[in-house]
Amino acid sequence: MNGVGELVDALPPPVTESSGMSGLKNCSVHVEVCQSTYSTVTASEIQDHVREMLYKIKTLYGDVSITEFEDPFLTEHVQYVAMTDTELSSGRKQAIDLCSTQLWIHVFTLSEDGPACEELDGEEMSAANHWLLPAADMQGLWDNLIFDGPIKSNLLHYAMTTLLFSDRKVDPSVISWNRVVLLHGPPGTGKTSLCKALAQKLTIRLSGRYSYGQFIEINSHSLFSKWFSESGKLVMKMFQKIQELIDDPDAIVFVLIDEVESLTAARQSAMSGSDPSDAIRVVNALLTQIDQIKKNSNVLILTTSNVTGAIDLAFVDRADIKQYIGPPSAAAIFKIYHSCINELMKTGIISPPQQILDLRALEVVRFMENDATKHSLKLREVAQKSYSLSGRTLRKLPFLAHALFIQKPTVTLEVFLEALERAVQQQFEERRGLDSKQPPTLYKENGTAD
Amino acid sequence: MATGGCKEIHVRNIELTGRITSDVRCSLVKDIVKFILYHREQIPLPYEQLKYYFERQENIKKGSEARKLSQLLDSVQELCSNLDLLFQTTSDVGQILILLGPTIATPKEIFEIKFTPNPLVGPLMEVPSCKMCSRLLHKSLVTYNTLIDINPPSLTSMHILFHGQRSADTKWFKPKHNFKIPKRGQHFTFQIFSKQSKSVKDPCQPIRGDVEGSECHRKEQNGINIREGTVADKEDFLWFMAPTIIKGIKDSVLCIPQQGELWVQ
Repeated sequence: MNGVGELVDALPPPVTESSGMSGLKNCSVHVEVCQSTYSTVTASEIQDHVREMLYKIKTLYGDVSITEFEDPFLTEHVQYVAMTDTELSSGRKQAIDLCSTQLWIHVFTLSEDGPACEELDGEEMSAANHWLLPAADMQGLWDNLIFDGPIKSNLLHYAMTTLLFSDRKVDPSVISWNRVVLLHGPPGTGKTSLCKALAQKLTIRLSGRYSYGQFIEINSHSLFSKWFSESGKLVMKMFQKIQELIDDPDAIVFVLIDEVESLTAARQSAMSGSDPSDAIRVVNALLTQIDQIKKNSNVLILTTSNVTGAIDLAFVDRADIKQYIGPPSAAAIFKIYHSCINELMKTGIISPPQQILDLRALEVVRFMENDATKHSLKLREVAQKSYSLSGRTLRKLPFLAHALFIQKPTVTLEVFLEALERAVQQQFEERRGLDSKQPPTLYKENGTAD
Repeated sequence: MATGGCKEIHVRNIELTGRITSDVRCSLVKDIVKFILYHREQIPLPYEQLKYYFERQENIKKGSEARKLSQLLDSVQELCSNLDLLFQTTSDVGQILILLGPTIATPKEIFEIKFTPNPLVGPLMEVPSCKMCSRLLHKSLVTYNTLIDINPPSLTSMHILFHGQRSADTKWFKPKHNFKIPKRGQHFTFQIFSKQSKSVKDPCQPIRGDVEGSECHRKEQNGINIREGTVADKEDFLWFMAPTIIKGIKDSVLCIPQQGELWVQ
């Protein structure tokens, strides 16, 4: 099985969308170190020990998370050391020479308190949920979000450039940027999760610059008042609270406005008379407040929407990145299933554990069927059949497969894959029942097989 | 002020007599926690009374609020026993923070308890009883007009932190590496010191005497001292946070027919 890894290295790198960057050698690698909850040593001490350990290991292959250490100091004070996002820029696993690359070691501790509520004065309902980052709730989200193309690295680079420009004090009247990200796409594709994961990731990456992060999730509906003309004021109040948080230069603040279309419903439809004019005031208040907030260097506004058409044009225009997030491709589905099956093997539900090869390894053996690739090819087939299902559905399919077709505490991989296939079929049948007009179309994968 | 644009820090000096042992400190901290809970309207009745009612199941409405009340009583109890343990094992807890607000970074009100170290007179000084100190403390808090004038925050959570050495051996309190005293919200400082530490300062402690100075001098310096202190000891000292968060409960937990009867019982 190890021979496959070497073969992958021998192959020329696949052409990716961001071509030209993939050949970059000796770039820097980010190492995330999660400090134990009760550890009291300083970050610099941990950094020294981690660096020493990595120099001893010398080379690592792709993204790795290390949880067991020889060094007793690390065992006591560190939960895990993770080399992250080496696959994001190049799109494939590659060997990293730890001695020659620049290592950025980020030490952080997770905040285990759940979300806190932020209330507006005089209002009964909480207007926002509030997390201190890095939060234990959001750990692991980033790695489990799988998209086609460089969506994740684009967002990371955007945020980095934003902070660089603010740091170097680029004149915003010459080059203008708004600190607003708009993610849109069909439901269940991971927009909200991506926002949370991005905030978590940035807080960890920037832990040297900002000592902590704040994540504020605004409940859009609570900003509408029962009193006519008060809604605009509620938006103002909300943003005043946010401004207070931003005033702390040690904090990086992320504001998430989920389902933003409810706040910024197109003004045109409001003009037509079907909506009260109060809605216009909300849009106007929001737009002016966003313009206010963008003057600060330590804030990023993340918004998501299912229906882009209904959002006010002036708002869409303010968003720097308008990223469409569609349903995953067959390749991404394969990765999602792969991670699900790994989880089930780890917990002992699928036993005995068997290795599933990734697509790249399958490509190397030219999709030949033998004992080693049998299950992997089967999974690939199921993944192709699952095309057009949303990410949220895909993540629950292994659960449904077990609940509906297995009902045993342990199962072999072969039986599980059969059950998974049946669960996929059932999903499509259910969908047909709901919407008889659209029969599911089988996706033909392009590019991977030739 | 040294802290720039931040709000004024309200300082209340609380004078006690005799040598303040860690037992006394511990009971004072517990008293202040309970006092703040009631005074800042996070619980509808004084803590002890609420506990009394709950244990007897008198005047308590059953339902979700009662469950929250039992949770609150449990977490205060847990906090108190761990404070006992802390003060027994760590002799030099000099600073305690009580934060009211949704998270520790966004408090609405900050209560800082600072203990001035005892002068080096040692065993000669008499040790006052906890009860006496508690009485003096309450007298000082109840007559503190600034606290009364500022409207209490709406129902929120209470977080407790202490400033201790890195080597502090606590299994319960969690270290918060990047925590700094927030600049948001109302800031109150309760400066607790022994009266005799001033009267006997000259013969025993010439150096300390300069720092302590007269009371009005101390007042001027307070705002600056707090910030400078944390910067200087940054490497050796850390903030530790209690893992239980005490969440306020609504008045509706009580079912007392008439307000007047409350005190008759």
